[in-house]
This record gives sequence, C-alpha cells and structure tokens, in this order.
Amino acid sequence: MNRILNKIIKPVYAHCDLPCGVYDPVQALVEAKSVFEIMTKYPELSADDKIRAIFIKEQRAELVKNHLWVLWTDYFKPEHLEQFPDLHEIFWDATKQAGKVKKTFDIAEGQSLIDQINKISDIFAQTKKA
Amino acid sequence: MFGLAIRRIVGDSMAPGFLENNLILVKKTKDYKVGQVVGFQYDGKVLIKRIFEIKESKYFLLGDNAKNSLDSRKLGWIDYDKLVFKVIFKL
Repeated sequence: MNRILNKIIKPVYAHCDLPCGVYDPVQALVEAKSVFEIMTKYPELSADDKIRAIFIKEQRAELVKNHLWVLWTDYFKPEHLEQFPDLHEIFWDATKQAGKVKKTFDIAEGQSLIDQINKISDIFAQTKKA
Repeated sequence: MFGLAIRRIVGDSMAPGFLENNLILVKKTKDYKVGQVVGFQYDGKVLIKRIFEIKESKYFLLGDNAKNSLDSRKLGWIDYDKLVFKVIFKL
C-alpha cells in the first residue's frame, strides 16, 4: 500500500545538511586578508604575476564565501537570531561583499570585507561566551 | 481541485512538526504570511520550509530543524515566483 501511495503522491523535500561541528570565522578572515594583500601588491606585480593574482584573488574570495556560508548555515541557530536580529543581514552583506571583491582591486572594498568579517567574529565570540 | 493537493515529505529539516513520509495537504495561493510553511522550487525539486521574513517580494525561509536544514541561510532570499504552495495541515 505504501509503495502505491509513494508512487501516486508526489514528494516534497525537507532538505537536510550535515554539519561537522567545528566552526571559526578566522578561516574567512585569513582568506579575506589574503584578498586584501593581493589588492595591495597588484600594481607592483609583473604582467605574468598580475594574471596569477587575478586568479588567486578570485579563489580566495570564493573561499571567504564558503566559510561564511558554513558558519551561517551550520553554526548560527534561532536563539542567536533573537540575540542578534541583524544576523541574516550581516551575513548577506558579507557574502555579497566577498563576491564584489572578485571584480575589483579597490583596496577599500577589500578592507570592507575584512571589517564585515570582524563584525561576524565579534558576534561569534559573544555567542561562545553565552 | 480548488488548488489542493496531497504531498509526501522526504527529509527531516522540518522536524519535529513534519517528519519523513508524513503526508500534507497543500494549497496553491498568492498570499503568503510569516510563519507559514510553504513549498518552493529549487534545483528541479519542491522544498518545504517556514517563512521567517518577507521583504520586497523576497522570502527568507528556514527549516524548523535549524541544526540540519538547507535553507535561506545558504540559499539566500527566495523570490516570490519560486513559491508554489502553502501547507494547510498534516494528514
């Protein structure tokens, strides 16, 4: 009977994600600092190294995104949202900024990414104290 | 009929309210509210999550089982036109 029902009734998915349990915003911060340093050194680089710098900066920015997503998705919980109502907005802005630094060598944008991750680090530290 | 349909749940991200293989009655609608459990299209499937926040026709959707849910924390804000139904009740 169940088999027949399963064939007739379409499924909808309550998708899951398996968290590893180890979290630290410092991962995102290290990659963001790498992006910043590449931006700083870029004008002085040779033509060949400039090409490498573009690729590496893009990779590091993508890593920032991934590290932030893992924190956002797996570490932070509804009770943290109650304590920090802007949490979603802060992560949204930071991950957007990680995308933005892929497209630019503007040092101010790189610094903004670092500042936004530092803000997340402060929140993270406060949740650890609680 | 009347935009109603029965659907079967796969996964545990909406536990404890909705568990694997639970049947739910769903209804097509144009009016969604915060707190409702809704279905939305993602990656060729229909996922169900709860509306946490609505902002300018975009929806922040979360699984009730927040420790184990793929939702707006990773997927971002979901567009209104991706929403396909709201859950009326569990059968």
